[in-house]
Amino acid sequence: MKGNEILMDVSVLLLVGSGLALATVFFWWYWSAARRSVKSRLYEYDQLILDLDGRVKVEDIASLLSLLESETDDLRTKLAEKSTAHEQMLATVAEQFSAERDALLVQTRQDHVSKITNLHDALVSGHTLLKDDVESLLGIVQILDRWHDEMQTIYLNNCDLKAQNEEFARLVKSLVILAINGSIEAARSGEHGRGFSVVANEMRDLARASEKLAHNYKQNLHKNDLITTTTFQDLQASGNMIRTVVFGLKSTTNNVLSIIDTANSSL
Amino acid sequence: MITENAIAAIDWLFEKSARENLSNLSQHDCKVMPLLDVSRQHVDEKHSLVALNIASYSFRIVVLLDYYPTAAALGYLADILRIADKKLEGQALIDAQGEFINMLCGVVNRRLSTEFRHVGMSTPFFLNSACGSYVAVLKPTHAQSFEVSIDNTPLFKLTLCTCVASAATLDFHVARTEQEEVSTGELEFF
Repeated sequence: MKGNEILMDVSVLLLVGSGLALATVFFWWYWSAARRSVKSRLYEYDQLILDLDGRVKVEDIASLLSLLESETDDLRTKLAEKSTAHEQMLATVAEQFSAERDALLVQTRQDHVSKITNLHDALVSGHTLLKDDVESLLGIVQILDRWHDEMQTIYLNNCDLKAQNEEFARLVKSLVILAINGSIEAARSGEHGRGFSVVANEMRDLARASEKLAHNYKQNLHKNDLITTTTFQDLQASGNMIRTVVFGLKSTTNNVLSIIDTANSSL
Repeated sequence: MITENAIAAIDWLFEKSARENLSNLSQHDCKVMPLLDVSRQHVDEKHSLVALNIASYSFRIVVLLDYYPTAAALGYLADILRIADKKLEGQALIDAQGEFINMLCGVVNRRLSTEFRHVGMSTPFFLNSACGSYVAVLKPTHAQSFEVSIDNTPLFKLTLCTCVASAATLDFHVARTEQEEVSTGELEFF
């Protein structure tokens, strides 16, 4: 019995010992973990302390902020002053530039107006001369009328010449017949008419030569008619052509005047 | 100097104009035949030879129209000009002959105005038909005659004398395929 009790006591002791050992181990593990956690926090606090070293102190912040605001206000004031000064300077420069530009524009415009006025005057003067010349050239119609009258005179004169030539041809024919009759009469008169026969033959030869001459003259009058008429027509056709050209020039000069007037009114 | 092209062009323009002006007789057979002898002329007091000039700076064309005085030819002329009274005589005949040559040359003048900047035309003038035998005195650079007939009835003889300035050369070309223009009439100054 006593032995069993002893064993039981030992067992209890062992159990208690084991429990104590486990508790110790557990306590050791817990204590180590807590220690590591504390160390870690300490490290973090140390770091924070290190970071906060050299920083402005909370109690100094207000005074520093006040100082900074004061400096900022000064700077703002200076900046505003400089800005105002710059704006004034810019306005002055702009005003000067504007005045110079306006003066230059006025001067340039005056120069241009002067040049254009001179040019306009020259063009108007030239146009007036050209217009007068064109109007004068249109007088070619009167020249054509005059040529036509002269042509009619020449043509009528040619007609007179033809009529006179026809009359002359008739006279020559009569003369030929007369000469033939004279020859016949001379032949009838025999020996006494021999001298008269010679005269009659001579007359006949002269009459035939005159007849030929009258024929040639008639041909020449026809040629003359053709040459005169076609020459006059050439003058007339060329005159019409020139008149068309002059009308074209007149139209162009009117257009030029219109352009000059438009340019002048836009000054 | 005148080139073959220019000769052909002038001949063609007058032939075309003749056909255009005879267009209201289109149901009839119209012929424009070249004649070999330019100077051969019907010397007849009844014939009317009408002359007209087309001129530019360096050349002129003398157009001579010798109207045949047959009743048939005069009847066709009245038809061409749409004259109701076909018996043309006296001043009416002169007016009709003058009007026709104006129409004939007017078409050519308008067409030449497209080739040459400035061209002018004269008024017609009546001559003794014998004058037509002496075209050589005009010293043409080129001369050519045509006989225009309708249904084998000769209407007139057309003689073209082209005179070109000695220092100039007349050269232009007209395509024979050219469309016939619609006649718009022309105001001529008399």
